[in-house]
Amino acid sequence: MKISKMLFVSEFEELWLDALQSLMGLRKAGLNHVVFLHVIHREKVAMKRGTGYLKQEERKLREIADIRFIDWAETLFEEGMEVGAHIVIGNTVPKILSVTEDEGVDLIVTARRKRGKLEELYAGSETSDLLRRTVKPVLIYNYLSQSGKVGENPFERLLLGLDWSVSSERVLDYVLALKGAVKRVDIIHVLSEKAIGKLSKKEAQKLEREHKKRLNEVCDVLTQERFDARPHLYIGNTEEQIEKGASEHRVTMIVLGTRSKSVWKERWSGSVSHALAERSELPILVVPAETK
Amino acid sequence: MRQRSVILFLLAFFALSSLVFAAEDSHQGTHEHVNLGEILSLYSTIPFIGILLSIALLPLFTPEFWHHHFGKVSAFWATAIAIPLIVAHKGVALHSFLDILIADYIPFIILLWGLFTISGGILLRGSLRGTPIVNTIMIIIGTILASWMGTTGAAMLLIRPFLRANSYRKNRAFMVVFFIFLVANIGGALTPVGDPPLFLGFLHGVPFFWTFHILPHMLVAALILLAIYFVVDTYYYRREVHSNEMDEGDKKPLSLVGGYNFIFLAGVIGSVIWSGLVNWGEVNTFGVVRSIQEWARDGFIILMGILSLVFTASQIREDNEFTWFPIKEVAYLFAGIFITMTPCLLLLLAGSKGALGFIIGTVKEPFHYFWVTGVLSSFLDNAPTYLTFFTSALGNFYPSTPEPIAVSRLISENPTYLMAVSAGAVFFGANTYIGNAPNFMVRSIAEEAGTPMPSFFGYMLKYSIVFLVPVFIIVTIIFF
Repeated sequence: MKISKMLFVSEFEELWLDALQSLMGLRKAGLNHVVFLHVIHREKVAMKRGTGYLKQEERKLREIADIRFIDWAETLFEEGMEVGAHIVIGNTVPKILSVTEDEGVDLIVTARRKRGKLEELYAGSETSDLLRRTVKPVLIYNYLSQSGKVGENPFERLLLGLDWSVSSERVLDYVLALKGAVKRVDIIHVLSEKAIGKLSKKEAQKLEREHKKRLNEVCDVLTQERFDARPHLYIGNTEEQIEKGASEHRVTMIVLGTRSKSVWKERWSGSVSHALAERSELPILVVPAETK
Repeated sequence: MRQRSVILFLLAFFALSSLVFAAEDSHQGTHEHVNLGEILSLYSTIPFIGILLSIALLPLFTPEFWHHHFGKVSAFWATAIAIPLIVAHKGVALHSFLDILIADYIPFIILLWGLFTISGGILLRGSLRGTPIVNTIMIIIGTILASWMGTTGAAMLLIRPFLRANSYRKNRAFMVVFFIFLVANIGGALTPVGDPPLFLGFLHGVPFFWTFHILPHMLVAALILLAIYFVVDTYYYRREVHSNEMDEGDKKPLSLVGGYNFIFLAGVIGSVIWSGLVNWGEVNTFGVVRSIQEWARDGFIILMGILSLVFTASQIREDNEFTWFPIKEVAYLFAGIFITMTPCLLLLLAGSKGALGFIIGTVKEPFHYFWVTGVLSSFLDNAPTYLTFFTSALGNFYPSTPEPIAVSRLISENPTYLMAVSAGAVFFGANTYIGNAPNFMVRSIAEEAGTPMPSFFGYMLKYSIVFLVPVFIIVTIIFF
């Protein structure tokens, strides 16, 4: 796994140049190419009852995006980065997917995205839709407050959530590829309260030991690669405990894996990574399953 | 700016309300057991005219305002009539509004949503070579499909393959215009699922297959237009073809994706037909009596739509560039249309006793109905226009007669009038971009794909007046 090319999706309402600059720490992990994507929503220019398709409006919106991307690109050129840009008309998720495939990017950076109520009812939010459909890691990056403040280096202190699934291994590989950009990794596994409750005290202690052992093994792998890694075993609701862990250890980003699920299955059984991507105040990096 | 808009809104609202109030004051105290149609004033039709004119003019002249505030415009006109009438006539007025919302608006929107959702899951991939014969065949297929999957569904299914097939042609605007004439309008004349006004007729008691009586009218109009199209296309094709040959690599075999949605579509059509054939009794909802099979039909259509959403890959809808915006817009606008239309329909049903008796006195012959319904449908929405003149015909022949009896007598004793209203509402929708919803959708897709389309007035002057109006005159001479 490598991170040399990044897709930065901006609608200029939620991710600006400062957010992009805060990710430049990834250069230490091999990042050398940034591709900008701006999607002009079709509704802004098409299907107008009185006027049909607004070609002039499209031209204007393209021009605005173009000017901004040129400005951003100049900043990146100065740092020796390669830059590309796409300004397209359509729906955000499919356009992100097609540009990701065309450009062969290693990481997608986007803001949290909502949909209309009717669409969310059957397809979930755009964020969930993207996470479900892409095989590339996605960094859901939001400003920490209304004032639009971003952390200086979101990759500095990671909270790595592991559930011992296949996707967990992929997440670990991805974190290893971030060597150089990351200072500390807090590894967390959350045991379900319900599962523990069914066990005798002895069995519960045994289970606890097993998980601690696995956490220590992961810790060792990271330490060998010169990461400052620390294991944590929590008990309770996974989403809540991950958020609690993130707060306690003052991490700058949460990193999770996600399994491949159909939209209906996901809506029925839920997904920790998708739920956290929807609500976490911290940036969250979701590494999806390898196949979809 | 915002404050000024609110003040203007309130001023306009109170001005309108006071007009209606002033007219209704003289009837205070008589609202128990009264026939509203006989006592309502002409002023009560202002919101209906206002909302129709707003839909026709605001998107043309203030597109940005319209795009962001169409819901508020609809709500303004609806409350401008609903509040004063309910205050003045209490239960009687409230019942009239509930009746039209429950018996007309809800099934109407459910059907449109169902057809829109299901047809949005069907995608025709690949591309043919757009020769005059291939183009004519595509338009014929679209015209036939329109009556069975709705004009919007058929137009959205075929417009992109049609544009792809002709992307190498130089003159394409006329092709899209004839596509609008036939697939987006005239083709929908045969069944209640074809075009929204006919479904309103169905909801008011016109049998599902009765609309097949318009087949001769439709055939005459469609065949003349197809013949003209073929001649014009051949003329341009012969002039262009040698200089602009389609790249062989651009041709891809046609393939239908999401074809299982036709099963859901059949489910919708089947449920509509079935609801007109059985009798499961009635149920009272908020004082509105409606048959159980109608509720069951609405539920079944929703189920078909949900199944389409569950089983259709999102990729198909994305490739169709499917968005909910058009159906959302229709839902907001029609809520306002149906509420504001209520006094108008009551006045017309009252026949010569109502304040709109002069319309009934003026519009007498079938060709009057055909042209008046048609011309108004060209600029205003054709569904409320249909219902207005359908009701007007009922008021003319059977004033103050219960609607089911009046409709059945109209069909058996004066069917030409209903044919005139039906054909007028469906056919004339093709006259302008705003005559029928798929018109502007097709225009937008064509323009986005690089086809330079005529302006609003260019469309009327170069095409509607030249090709459609003479065809409608021929239809009038033969049938009305």
